[in-house]
Amino acid sequence: MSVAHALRWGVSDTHTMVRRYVIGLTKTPEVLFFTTVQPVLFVLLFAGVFGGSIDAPGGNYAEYLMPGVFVQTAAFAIAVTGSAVALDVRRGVVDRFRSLPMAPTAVLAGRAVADLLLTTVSLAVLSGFGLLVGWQPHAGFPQVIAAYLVLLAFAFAVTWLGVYVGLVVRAPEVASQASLFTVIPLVFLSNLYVPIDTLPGWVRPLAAWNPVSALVSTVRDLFGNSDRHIAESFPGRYPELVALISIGLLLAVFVPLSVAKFHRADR
Amino acid sequence: MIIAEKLVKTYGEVRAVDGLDLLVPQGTVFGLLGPNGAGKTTSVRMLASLCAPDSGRAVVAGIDVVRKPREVRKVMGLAGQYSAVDDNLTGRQNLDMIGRLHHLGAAAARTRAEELLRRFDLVDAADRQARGYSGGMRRRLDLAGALVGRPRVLFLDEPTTGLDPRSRQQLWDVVQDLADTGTTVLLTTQYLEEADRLAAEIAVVDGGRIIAQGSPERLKADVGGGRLEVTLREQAHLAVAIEVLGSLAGVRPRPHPELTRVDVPTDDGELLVAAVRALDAAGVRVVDIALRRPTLDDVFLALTGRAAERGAA
Repeated sequence: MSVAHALRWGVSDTHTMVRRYVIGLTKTPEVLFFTTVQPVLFVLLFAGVFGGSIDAPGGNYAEYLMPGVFVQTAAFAIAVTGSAVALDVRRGVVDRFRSLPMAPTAVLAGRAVADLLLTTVSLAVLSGFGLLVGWQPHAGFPQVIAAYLVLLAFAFAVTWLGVYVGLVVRAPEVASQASLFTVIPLVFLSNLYVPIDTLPGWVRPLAAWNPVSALVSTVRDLFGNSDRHIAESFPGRYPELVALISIGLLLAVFVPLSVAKFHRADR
Repeated sequence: MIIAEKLVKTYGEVRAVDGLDLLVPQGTVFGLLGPNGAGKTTSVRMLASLCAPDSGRAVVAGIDVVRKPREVRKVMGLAGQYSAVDDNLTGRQNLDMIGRLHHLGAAAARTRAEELLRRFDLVDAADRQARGYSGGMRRRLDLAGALVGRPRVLFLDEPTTGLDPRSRQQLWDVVQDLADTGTTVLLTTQYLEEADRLAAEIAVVDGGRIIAQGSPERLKADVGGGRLEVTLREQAHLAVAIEVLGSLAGVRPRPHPELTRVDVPTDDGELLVAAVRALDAAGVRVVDIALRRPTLDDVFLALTGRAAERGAA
């Protein structure tokens, strides 16, 4: 089979799979509801409960918080991915797909694209909510677009981690928790909720080198929301570079791992 | 046609499949019969390109399964032990999706889905989510999915496990029909009746190996002849019945543990009539009397019984 031929079927099969997942999402609106409401809840809780006591750069905690919650939303979407993939394996649906003459990667790529669409909706709703609580971008239109593109690129990359966890864990009941386990420490040991210099001393180096911090800083910078970089660390000086490398690494590691695991998927 | 040569698959210490040799001619139904853990599912997964054998060779419809899995998938269908149905999609959407993944094109995929819905009596439920389907409907939809690509070789892994008798009968009819129109079918089952009913050739597997193979008739003949089975109304008549039947047949009848049933090994059809008369004359009240051909149950118990003893020694 020629490369062009394979590519054409790959795209066509991925499209078929995206359709499947999107129909699935419309039939289970609670997934969309909770993935959207959860970050809203985080904003309310953190802005409402801790907002007053956090020394936010620029003096406006909502502005500081929102880019972080965007990143968190993209990261936590991994729970949906992980459990959905595990469920497909458990139910034998993966066996069915693997018995078809389709592009095998389309099953996973379709999942990743569909979850990206889900995250896009969540981010749109969350952005609207952010405007209500006093967040707003201060940069030009191209930068704002760039900020969203970085968020979506991260969402897409981190989905593949979820795909891999789902294939490895295989128990749907455990897969969503297991997926979250991989990202929760990263989310909380970062500058996502509070500036790094207010963290306990031992956490600071971890937080400074945490790629999530770099991502959050990048998104804050692009939106024109205030941030306080740790200037003496490399990631503090070049957050964009670290963020892009992290996204690239996630993809470079977990796409091939997932595809290889899928080829050997066993119930 | 399906060929397996010395297929081996190990999981850690366990040799799930331990040197499987098979030859299934085109257009026939072959039954792989065995208990749970005998290696049936692993064998099917290897033949259907879902997992790679550690060693050995598998050829399906003339295509090497290990070297060209994609080509094999174009000509085979698989219905696994669990109904691989997407609950969120309707029956029609499930089949339509599989048609697209077979690259039939949108219009042809739709037509094929419609055909199969009709064939499997799912038209009324076609536009309902599969989530609400009964077990029998799910299994039918799953089998329909396996047929979307008009496979030349069909693998069915315990296709009727957990089905009610009516759904089982329906499924049997479909499999028979497929075989009659030239499809090669490899089915695994724990149901001896199912293998007996559908398969022209049966392999009994245990511990990852084939321990016996042949036509259902041949396997039964190997185990021995038939038997006369007499069920008594009262336990008190057992001794008399054994004496009467023993003198008639010239062999000692075997009483069953529940003590109201007696088996007499025989192939003589006339013994039935003679036994009825003699028992009646002796005042033994009989609830049921019948000449039973040996079932695959007998075959299986005899074979695995020996195998188990050998394993323990």
